[in-house]
Parts: sequence; C-alpha cells; structure tokens
Amino acid sequence: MTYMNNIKGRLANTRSRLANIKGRSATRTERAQLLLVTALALAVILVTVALLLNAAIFTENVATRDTTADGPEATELRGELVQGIGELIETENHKGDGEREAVESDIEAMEPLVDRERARGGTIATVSHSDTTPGQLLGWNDEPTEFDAIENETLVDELSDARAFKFEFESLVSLNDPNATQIENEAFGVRFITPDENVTQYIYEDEDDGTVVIANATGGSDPETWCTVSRSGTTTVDLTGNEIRTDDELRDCYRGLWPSDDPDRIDFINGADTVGNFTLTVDADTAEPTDDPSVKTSDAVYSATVDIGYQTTDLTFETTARIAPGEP
Amino acid sequence: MIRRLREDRRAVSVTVGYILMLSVAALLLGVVLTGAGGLMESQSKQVVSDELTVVGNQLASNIQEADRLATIAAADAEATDEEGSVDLTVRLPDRVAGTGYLVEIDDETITLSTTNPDVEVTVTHPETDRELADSDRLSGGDIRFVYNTSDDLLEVES
Repeated sequence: MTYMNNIKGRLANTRSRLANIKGRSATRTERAQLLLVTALALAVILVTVALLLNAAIFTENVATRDTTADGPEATELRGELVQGIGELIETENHKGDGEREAVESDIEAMEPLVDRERARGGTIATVSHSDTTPGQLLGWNDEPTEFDAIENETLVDELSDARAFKFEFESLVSLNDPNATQIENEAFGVRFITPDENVTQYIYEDEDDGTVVIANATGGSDPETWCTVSRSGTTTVDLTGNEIRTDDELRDCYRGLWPSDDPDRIDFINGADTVGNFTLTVDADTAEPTDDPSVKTSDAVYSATVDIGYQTTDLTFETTARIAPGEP
Repeated sequence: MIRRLREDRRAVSVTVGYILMLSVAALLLGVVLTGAGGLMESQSKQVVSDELTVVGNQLASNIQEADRLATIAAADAEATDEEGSVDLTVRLPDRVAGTGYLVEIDDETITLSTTNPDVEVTVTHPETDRELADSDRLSGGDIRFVYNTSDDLLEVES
C-alpha cells in the first residue's frame, strides 16, 4: 500500500513538472509572436521611410530639370527669322533695284532650310511668305553732299512710316561751348514735324571738349544736350536706332532721337558746312519725297510679312511677323 | 521570507501569463506605433510640401513662358492684323508622395493643396502681360495654357 502511494506521489510530481514545462513553452511561443509583430511593424515603418526618401530624391531631381516647354527655342526661331529676313530686305534694297519679287522668292527659298534645320532637333518649324510692302529708299545722288542741297529743306512729306534713318558725317559744324541761340542758328538739325509739335535733333561738334553732340529741342524750347560721343574720324548717327558712333566709341542714346509721335514731315535745317551721306526708307503708300535733283529716290521693299510656326510635343506657336528692319 | 515567496505557486497559471504577456505586447506596440506614426506624418507632410513647391515653381516658370510667347503673338497680330496662337502643355506629376493634389491659378499666386495629409502651398508668380482667364481648381497632372490673339486671354486647362 505504501509502495502504491509512493508511485502515485511520483506520478503527480512528474505531471506537475510536465505542466510547468508546457507552461514555459507556451510563454516562449508568445514571446516569438511579440517579436514577429514588432518586427513587422518596424518593417512597415522602414519601408515607408524609404518610400518618402525616394520621393524626396525624386523631388530634388525634378526641381533641377529644365522645366520650360521649348518656349525659348520658339522665340529664338522667330528672332533669327526676323533678323535674317531683315538683312535680306536691306541687301535687296541697297543693291539698287529693291524688287519685291526678289525678296519674296528669297523668303520662299528659306522655307526648306528652316524646316530641315529644326527637324534635326525633333521639332516642326515653318516659315512662309505672306506679304511685302513697297517702299522708297532716299539718299544723296552724289555722295557725300552738303546738307543744304535741298532747296526748300523738306526731305519728305505726307509720311506714314519710316525706318533706317542713318547719317554718316564727314564734317560737322564746329561750335565752342555754344548757347541755345547759337545751336538753333548754326548747328545742322533734322526737324520732325508731328501732328502736335516739332522735334529737332541738332548735331554739331563741340570744340571746347572735343565731342560730337546731339541736342534735342521740342516745340519752342531751348535745345538740350541729349547724347555726346568723343570726336574721332567719321561720325555715324542712327536716328531710328538711337545710336551715335565714332571710330572709337559707340553710344546708346536711349530712345531719345526719334519723336514719340510718328512724324508727317522731315526737314533738314542749317545744312551748310555739314557734309556726309544719309539713307532713309519710307513707306511708298503715302510718302512724297522731295523731287530735288540732289536726292536720289529708288524703289525698295519697306516691310515683309511672314507666317512662322513652331511645334513640339509640348508647344504649338503660330504667329505672323511684320519685318521692317530699323523701324523705330 | 524570500524562500516562502519563491516557493509560493499561487496565482501562477498559464492564463495569468497570457494576460501579462499580451498587455506588455500591446503597450510596446502602442508606444512604437504612436511614436513612429507622428514621425511618419511630419515627414510625409514635409515631402508633400516640398513636391508641391517644386510643382508650383515649374508651373510659375511655364506661365511666364506662355505669357512671353502670347505677348509676342499679340504684338505681331497688332502689327499685321493676322491671328496668332500659343498652346503650351506643362508636364506635371499626377500625384505627389502617393497622393493626388489640386491646383488653383490666380493673377499672382498658384495654390496647390492635398487633403491627406492636409497640406497647402502657395507659390507666387509675376503678373502676366496678357490677362489670365479665371479657372476652377484643376486636378494634378498635365496643364495646358492656350492663347488666341482674337480672345486676348491666356486660358488654363487641365
């Protein structure tokens, strides 16, 4: 009996130990699940961080890319065509005949060149001639000539449009620190008669400081110095381009040389002792140039109108440009 | 005394072990997720804000580009009485940091916004020479600027 009780006691102990072992094993399983869940959560967090970091890197990449859609190339094409066709018009005009047909055929000859050049860059570019406006090119018959050669001083009347008004002076009236009256009476002047007022640009040499001066007088006011350049060799004045140049220096006169209102008439005043050449292109529709024999009037092209197109995957730009080189 | 406590097996059971273990696990997960969640949200907002700023700046530069071309076309049209046009498409992402966004373009500002996370970015751009047409809020993605000299209005479409 005692023996049986001992065996039962041992069995109970063994069961108890087994239960303890099972309990510990269950706890270990729970710990593993905990680690698993925590690891999963951390993995999700790390992946999200990686994604955000990736997005940030992509953002930096995008931020440093060229983002504009070919706009500068389209503007550049238009600029190149305006400049090229402008030079073409001036070349035809100064060759002496200024035929519209010649300008038109030259523009048509440019069409395949433009198309081919741009096609290399994967874009479609087109140029086609639309219209040309007839003009007249004015200048001295014998170059150089004194600027008082026109008898009634009027170079052109009934003017609608004018461009490329340039002078090349071989000699100018020389004054010594002149006052307003001296300038008005002695200096060579180009007078623009506009519907509202007269604007005169006086051009002379100032002996006192060795400069060529352009003085501006509006209406009845005293002339005021607008632009000066040091005297050196031939003096070139571009009244529509607002520039004065000598052999050594070029000076920009900042929109001061052409009147703000378009002139109806242009006169040369005080032309004695001022010698040189000039060119002026006027619109032939209404302009009445002087019939003085000292002035040569030849046919010219005043302006050309061209259709320009530029097309890429992101941009379509179509415009019709009027090209009148040297128009103020 | 200590020996008595060590040998005391009362209240030691699998059930109590489970309860304690689950409590500790829940507490740990809660702390980790709360801490990391806040960090993630702030980082996510920052990334969205950065991307919207970049998109806004791209849009601003393209508005200026479209305006520049429109001004040239308008000047040419005035000189020739012929029509001109500009059609410019800006390639923008559909989503930023995985979320969609809205764009609103006004005279001098571009407002970009997302709802999740709630972020709003405003980018300024110089006033355009050509008048900018009123537009509704546009969803993110490609945006077109269309100009015709006959209307003289820079229109925005998505």
